Formats: sequence, C-alpha cells, structure tokens
Amino acid sequence: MDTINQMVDTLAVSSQSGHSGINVWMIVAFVELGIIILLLLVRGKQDNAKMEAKKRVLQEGDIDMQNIVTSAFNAEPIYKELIAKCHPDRYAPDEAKMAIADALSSRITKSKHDLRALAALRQEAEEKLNI
Amino acid sequence: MAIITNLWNRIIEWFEDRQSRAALIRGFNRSAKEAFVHGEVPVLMEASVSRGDPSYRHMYSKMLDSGFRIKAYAGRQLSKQDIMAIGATILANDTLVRRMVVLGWDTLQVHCDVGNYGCQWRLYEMIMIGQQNNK
Repeated sequence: MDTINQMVDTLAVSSQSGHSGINVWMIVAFVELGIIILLLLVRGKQDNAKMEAKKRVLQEGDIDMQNIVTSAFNAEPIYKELIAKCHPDRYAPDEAKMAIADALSSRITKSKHDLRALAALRQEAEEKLNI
Repeated sequence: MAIITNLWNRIIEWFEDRQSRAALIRGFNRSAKEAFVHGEVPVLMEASVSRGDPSYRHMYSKMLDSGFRIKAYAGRQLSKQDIMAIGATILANDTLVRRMVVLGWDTLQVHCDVGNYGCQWRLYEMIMIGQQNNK
C-alpha cells in the first residue's frame, strides 16, 4: 500500500512539474513563432517589392539578340567612319550644318555599340549632310 | 496565409526564372550561331551559366550560377580589345543588362577558347552607370 501511495505521489509531482515546464516552454515557443511570422511577413513585403520591380523589367520588351551579336564585331568600324564624317568642324563655316553634325555626333557616340542604330544614323547623315 | 502565398510565389518565381534564363541563353546562342553561319561575325560565340564573382552579388543574385559566360571560339587568343568589344556590346544594351540582373546574374564573363585570358564585369554597376548616363 505504501508503495502504491509513493507511486501516486511521484506521478502527481512529475505531472505537476511537467505541466509547469510545458507552460514555460510553450510561451517561449509561441514567442519564437511570433518572431518568425513577423520576420516572414517583413521579408514577404520586401519580396513583393522585388517581384514587382522584376515584373516591370521583364515586361520591357523583346531584345534584339541578332543585333547585339553582330554589333560585337561590326559596329566599331562603322562608328569610326561615321564619327569622322560627321565631325562638326568638317562643316565650318556653315552653322546650320555644324549644328546638325553636332547633334548627329552625340547620337552616334551614344549608339557606338548598336549596329542597327548606326545604320539608321548613317542614312540620316547621308540625307542631311550629304556624306 | 500570407506566408503560404509568399512561399507559393517563390516556388513559381523559381520555375519562371529558370525558364527565362534558359530562354535568354538559348536566344543568344541561336543568334550567335546564325550570325556565324551567315558570315556576319568572324567568331562563334556561346553563352552559358557559370559561377559568378561572389564580390559582385546584389539583391537578385542566384546562389550558385550567377555568372553569364560568353565563350568565343576563335581558335586563337583574342586581343583584349576584341574581348572588351564583346562585353561592351552586351553592356551597351540597357534592357538586356537589366533583364540579366533581375534574372539573377551578377557577373558578365567573356573569354575565348584558347588561353586563360578573359574579362569580367559587374552587371549591377553597369545599370547604375546607365541610369547616370540617361539622366
């Protein structure tokens, strides 16, 4: 009988201590969970902004790969030729033509690596400056 | 609920990114091959994914394959000017560079099939330079 009483006491003590232990750790676990959820929500907001920016960039339109590949080797000679032919000093003292050449030169420099744009600029230069 | 939505979006984004990255590389390789076959360029170029430079990382960088590598099959060592010209042509196209950045690439590498010489550029920096030029 004593043994049974002792066992019952032991069980009661262990269950009490176990219960109080679970409560403490449960609180800690809930706090941790709260922190994790908060972090995920904050990160989620950042991700949304990131995804929006990405979506905008991906909708910018098609890329002309053919032009990029051919420009890598063919744009530079055309650029050098055009930039020499469209130099404003070549058209002095005609100020109107000098202004056109100046504008064309800056556009040619901007399109230095774009073969298609350079071809269009050459045509424009031929029409406006008779190069 | 928001967490599950974010997680789901991330999974979808990962698959879409893979598809877009593969499409970009395929597009480049197809154009390079066609240009070479038609005699428009003297060198065959091939793009692939590589390990990028860890110091070039940005917010969109992929964990492992953040390098965009272009290999030029010239059969000889290309000069630095040639390699720089290939890189400069890629970098001059703002739309392409922006797309590469958001698809997770942070390093552009150009080298040829002979020799150990090559050049690499930090893509994110090029966007900043492009924005400054546009202003």
